[in-house]
Amino acid sequence: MTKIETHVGGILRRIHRLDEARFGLIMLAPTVLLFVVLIGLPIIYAFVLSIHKIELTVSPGWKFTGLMNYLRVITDRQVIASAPRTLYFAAIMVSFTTCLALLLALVLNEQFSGQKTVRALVLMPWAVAPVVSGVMWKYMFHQKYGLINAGLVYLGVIDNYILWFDDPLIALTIAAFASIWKALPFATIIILAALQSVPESLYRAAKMDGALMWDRFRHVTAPHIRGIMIFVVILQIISALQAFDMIYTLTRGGPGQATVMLNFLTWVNAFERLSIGMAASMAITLAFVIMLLSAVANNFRKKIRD
Amino acid sequence: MTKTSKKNPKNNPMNRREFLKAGVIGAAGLVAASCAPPPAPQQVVVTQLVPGEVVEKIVEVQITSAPVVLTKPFAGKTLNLMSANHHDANVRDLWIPLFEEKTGAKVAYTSIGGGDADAKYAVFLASEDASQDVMYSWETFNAKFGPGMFEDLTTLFSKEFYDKLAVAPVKAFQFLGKQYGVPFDANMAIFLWNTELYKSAGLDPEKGPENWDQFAEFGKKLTGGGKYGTLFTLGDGNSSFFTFITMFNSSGALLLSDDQKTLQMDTPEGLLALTKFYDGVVVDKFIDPAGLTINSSIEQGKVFRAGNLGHYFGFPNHYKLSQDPLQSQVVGKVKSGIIPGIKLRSGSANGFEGYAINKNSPSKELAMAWLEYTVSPEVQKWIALKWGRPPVLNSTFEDPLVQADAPQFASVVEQAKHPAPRYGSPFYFDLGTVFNDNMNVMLKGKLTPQEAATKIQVEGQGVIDAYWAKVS
Amino acid sequence: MNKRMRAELFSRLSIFSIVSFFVLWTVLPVVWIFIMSVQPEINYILVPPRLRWVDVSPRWYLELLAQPEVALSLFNSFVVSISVTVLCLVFGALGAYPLARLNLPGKNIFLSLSIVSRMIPSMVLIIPIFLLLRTTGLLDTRLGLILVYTALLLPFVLWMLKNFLEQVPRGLEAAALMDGCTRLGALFRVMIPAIAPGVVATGAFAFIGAWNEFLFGLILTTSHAVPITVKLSGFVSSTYHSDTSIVAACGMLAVIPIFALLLILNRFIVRGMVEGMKY
Repeated sequence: MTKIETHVGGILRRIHRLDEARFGLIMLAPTVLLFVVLIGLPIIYAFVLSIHKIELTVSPGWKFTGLMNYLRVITDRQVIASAPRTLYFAAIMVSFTTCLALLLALVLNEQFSGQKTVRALVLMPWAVAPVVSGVMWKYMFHQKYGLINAGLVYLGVIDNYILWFDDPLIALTIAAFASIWKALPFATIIILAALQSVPESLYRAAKMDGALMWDRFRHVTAPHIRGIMIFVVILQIISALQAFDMIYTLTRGGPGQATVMLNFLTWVNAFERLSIGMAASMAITLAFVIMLLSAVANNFRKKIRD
Repeated sequence: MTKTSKKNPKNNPMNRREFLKAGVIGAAGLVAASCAPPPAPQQVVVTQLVPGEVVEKIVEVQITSAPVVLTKPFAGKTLNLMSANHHDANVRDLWIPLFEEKTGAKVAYTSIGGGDADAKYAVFLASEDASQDVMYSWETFNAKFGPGMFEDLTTLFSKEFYDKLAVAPVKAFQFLGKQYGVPFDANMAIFLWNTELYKSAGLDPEKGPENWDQFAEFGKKLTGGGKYGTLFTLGDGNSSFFTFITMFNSSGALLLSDDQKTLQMDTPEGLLALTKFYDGVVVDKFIDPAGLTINSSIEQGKVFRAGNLGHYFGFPNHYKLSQDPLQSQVVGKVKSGIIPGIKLRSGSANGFEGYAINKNSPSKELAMAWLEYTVSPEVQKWIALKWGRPPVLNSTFEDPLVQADAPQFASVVEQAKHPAPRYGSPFYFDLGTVFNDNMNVMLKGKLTPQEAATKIQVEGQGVIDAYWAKVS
Repeated sequence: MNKRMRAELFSRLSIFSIVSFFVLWTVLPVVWIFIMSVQPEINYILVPPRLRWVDVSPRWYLELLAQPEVALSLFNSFVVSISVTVLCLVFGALGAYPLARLNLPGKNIFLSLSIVSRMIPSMVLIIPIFLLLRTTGLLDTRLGLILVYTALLLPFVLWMLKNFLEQVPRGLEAAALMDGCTRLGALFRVMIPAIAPGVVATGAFAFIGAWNEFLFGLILTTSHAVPITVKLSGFVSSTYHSDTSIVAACGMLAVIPIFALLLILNRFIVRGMVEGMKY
């Protein structure tokens, strides 16, 4: 054993002799340190920002305003206008992702040839960065070189290319579908994992009792994966409300304001208007909303478990 | 460990201690690699004979056959330059080497996407950053970031210096009376048309329209068979606003009051501009509605260069691109003129670009040297001949070589005689959004021009008032 | 055909059609961008597109990779992502153990708090983190990015590894301790290998998370440590970007390495999730 190993071994032995609590603390120490410095301090800074009035286009000064910013956030015209858009986007994204992920996981749970390849392919969107997927879907629906347009013309459905991103509702829906595309793999794997943990014996018993596919699902599968499904819903809610990178490259908030959602407004305030105080309070308000929704969903999950 | 090996037959476990060691060393190595500086750019030692030096020196050099490095004014210093990535080909590849040679300084060039610049500049401003000495700027950036981040250049350069440059660009780089940057071009929209398409539509290929009504008439004749007469960019706040003021500026009125506190949209001129537009898209249909999703003038240019557009309001360097056989199907079929106005003979909007000095920079003299360099005759000639943009240095326009190579500059000189303010301001983007939203709805036929004008006035004034309320 | 066979056929057909639909919808955007990245723009801008085999060319990739900043940004992404993965797994394993096994007051609160903190839109944390990195001289360095990304990803990594560790039967650990292992030794020699697929899945999660990060990359780097995602956004948001094929090629460059990673680790990722997610 080299000298270094002796030393390390000695330290390790000393650590080993500590009681549980101290030992645990030391093991958590690097994480806690990194976290407190790089995340904790900035969060406190963000809180401080949010209770000041900071307009960098005017002056670098900070003016203490207490909770005024939060009041302005709730009454801001653009925030109120973006709330229904955010709701629509989140509703579509959460519901479709959850349902499609469940469907896909059920299918992938069955045996069929090429199952391994399909599983690998289905994981692809997870690997794609949100900025890249924004570019990909922009080019899918592009009014001059989009694949969708080319395909529809080829099939004779339309004569001229459609300006998909022209209509606010369509643009928002496309954004939602691009997000679903991106979120599907991870949700699917989680549900698939849960499905595979359902004991085979229960299925066999159900089959012997003459249960059909749908009944098997209702009585055997569903109870087991209820908890996981709620978890997937929570994840999607967080993801939908935090969507930014993809919108940035897909539509930049356009057409007009159609795809400007709450998180995007934070960007507009911080980097286009340079109203840093407002942006901070907007972000924290959004965080509260997300926390609230997740807590509600989590409570629901706990209730189901018992 | 039978359980482990049964579960993971593929994972033949290394000896645990070795694994841990390798992991730690690997991690340390990677962390160290990440700290290692990237390979340094090539160092170049320049041997240059300063013009005017006596011949004897040449002989000296030849005898000793050792490189002689003469002292340059900024030898050993570094200039941190932040630019937009559409400047790469010209600024980075062409201008910088000569600058380095002349001054002895090294230029650390960084470029970012034009659309990403807002975020980076905002963070720089918020943190009083001093890492960049010279920064790319245009009219709106001056208004937004000038007071907080850019050095006031009003008195730093002499009056003679400014007098050599075209008036409009220099003024555009002022905000509330202070000079926050130096423009290097006099880029403004002019009028380009496809002579072949004109001929086949029965129009005189040598003459452009003299006013908007003729423009509409020509446009209708040029529309058909999947092609449109013209295209305007209306894809986002910036492009919509730009399109609007290009037209509005030929009405003779001012959109914003001089003190930037009042929006003057509820005027006959504002209504006139909107109505002409509405007619073009909704009634007469010679303006391509696809423009509603296009926010880049380059896209406009591409459609034109593919031979699919009759005429449009384009930037002068589009003319140059249209004569490049690798990128254009309309080589030799393009002519330029001035924009047909809605009331006055003409009007335009500018796209001047330039550089500014970071207030917190520790190398202000070097930064000033760069700004002077960008308006020096050599660089201005490059801008005119290689980049295809109108130069800002008056003498370059008069250079016969430039005039021969770039016929479109004659149009620019003519165009510059007509109003072309850009109305850059700290609330430029918010105001642009108001225009974009309402114009979008109007051009789909859901608002009349009068209604749109009123809405824009109300919402736009609200934006302006909100900004000035912040100031007090 | 009796009822059973018909039901069988029906389920086979529906599986086939559902799978085909999903594979198509998953793969199509990627395939289209790939096609765009090897065809000159004039080909796919036409109505209908005129895609020709003879025009297929890697020249946009070569043009991109010939630019030193692009090659550097690829290198940066690799180095940063790999380092983040290693750091996350090491810190994560060290931290997940007490969370899973030890009696530590407030441990659950810590985990919940850390995950909750990630619900704050990262945008607002950018300015303070920028200031932090500037004060410590870590701006525009790969090390700075590594530390920030690790901090951002650790809550999830901890959560995942904790879940996986909880699945390891206590008997295994007890046996190791009785054999004379220290607690750390038991962790790294016995427990981690026992959840190896889960570790791989978590590692892939960390790698992908670091590789795909954009906003922090944009603000915290200028020239030396720029990752490929920021370069791509630069092309997309350039005021005058002229060649769409280049943008497409850059987009592909940003995803090809991850696809390769997934292809290799596919088995472990799914298995890791499966074996680790016991609810």
